[in-house]
Amino acid sequence: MSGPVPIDDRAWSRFAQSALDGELSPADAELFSKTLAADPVRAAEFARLAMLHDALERELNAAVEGRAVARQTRLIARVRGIAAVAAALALAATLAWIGLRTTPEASAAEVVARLVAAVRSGDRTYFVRAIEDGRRQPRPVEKPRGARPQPHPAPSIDGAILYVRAPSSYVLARLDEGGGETLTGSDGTRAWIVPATGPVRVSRDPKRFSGALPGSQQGIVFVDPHVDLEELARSYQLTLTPPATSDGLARIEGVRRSDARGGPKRIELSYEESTARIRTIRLENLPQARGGPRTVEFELVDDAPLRDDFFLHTRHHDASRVVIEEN
Amino acid sequence: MDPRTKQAFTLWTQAQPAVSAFVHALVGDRVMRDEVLQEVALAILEGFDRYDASRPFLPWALAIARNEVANARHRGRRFPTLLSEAAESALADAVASVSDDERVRLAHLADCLAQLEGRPREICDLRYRSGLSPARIAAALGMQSNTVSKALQRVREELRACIERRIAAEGAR
Repeated sequence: MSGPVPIDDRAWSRFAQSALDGELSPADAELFSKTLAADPVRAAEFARLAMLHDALERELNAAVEGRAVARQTRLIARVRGIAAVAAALALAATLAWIGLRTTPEASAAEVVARLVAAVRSGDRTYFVRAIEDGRRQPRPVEKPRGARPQPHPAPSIDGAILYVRAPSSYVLARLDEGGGETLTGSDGTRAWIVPATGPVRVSRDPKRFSGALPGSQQGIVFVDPHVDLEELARSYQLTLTPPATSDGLARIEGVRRSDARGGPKRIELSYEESTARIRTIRLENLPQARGGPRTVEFELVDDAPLRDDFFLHTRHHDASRVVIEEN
Repeated sequence: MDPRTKQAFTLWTQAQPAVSAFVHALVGDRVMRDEVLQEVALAILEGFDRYDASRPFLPWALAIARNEVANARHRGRRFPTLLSEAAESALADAVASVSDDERVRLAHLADCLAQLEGRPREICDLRYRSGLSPARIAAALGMQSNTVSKALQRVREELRACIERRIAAEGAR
């Protein structure tokens, strides 16, 4: 039976804040839990903080005006220097092609052409959300006695940041459960992976390591917009939706045709009608044959120019790291 | 809408901010929070016949929320902060006890938020609007993660202090 746990105000405040930000270590989480369970005053303090935390998130996402401020945030331009909007470019180019081929109204083709032009005009940084985690639940395998826990669990696409530059450069930054960062990318001619630990790998195949990009496994072209367009063009039916009153954004919806194979069942782009800037890309019902999330959303968080060398692997690791060149 | 459904809807609307905060604290992510909240709302509407109207509604709704969080966990969802059952229970009790008072205080949040400027506002936007973790914000702004965490702590404390000042000013009138 554990009694009240001694913890000073400062440490408690730090714990409470860290708990809401998902940054408590397992040991701290245990102490946090014990304190919460044993001390009603601390529990009430945390409850108030939790209500503020939730209200803040709702307040800042409620107003369209707020969205406009977020767009202006020069987020990852100041990124310490990682690095191409292949996703947006590829998708927009794909939709443009589809639109030109299959949509009778000239307006669809015109809109998509504008989107493509806008995407080609600069770098984009997206925040990635796995809306519905389709990761298969691991089987409860009993580990051998004394077995060591896996030191580096697989990084997650949820919460990842994707940097893209037309036509085919990208960097995808993912965090694993332990806080380690894995970077995969391509400078357009060479692909690379910089894991949290271990050697850096570089390949002359630009599509190598692109498996982590949602949609890449299913033939949705992220890295090279010119690949497989013909098949994609046969696969989606486009619909344009005028700007919604809620967020002021126009939308293009692509629904996979019933006789098409592979790819997400539905694709949706939201964009600013005046500038043709794509704000979100949503891929729904991704095929699950190889695991991964079922639905993924890319939200534009910045369009400031990235450094010229941002998409080179050398920009993202110390010179002392071992680099393995694959054939 | 029949009277019983209307009553359920009214009570749920009043309880939702507290239940939302509770679920958010447990699951750590707004998308997951909304997913769980949807399940909670459905469970409340479907099970409203079992609600004893002589007792407060919020504790009952919070108990359902705990069940739905557990169900999400069983479906393989992963949450960043794992609280013990005793801690979850204590938090539910605490949320129920502070909820009414906090709802009044949080009515001042928008005004206080409007006063937040500069880097604190930027960090607040990245955390709450863009949904970035402190580690991601640190990467984006070229800061140490620890520095971002402390900045977020200060932002929340400043907002809390602003709210208290406004409550006090209201009381003085």
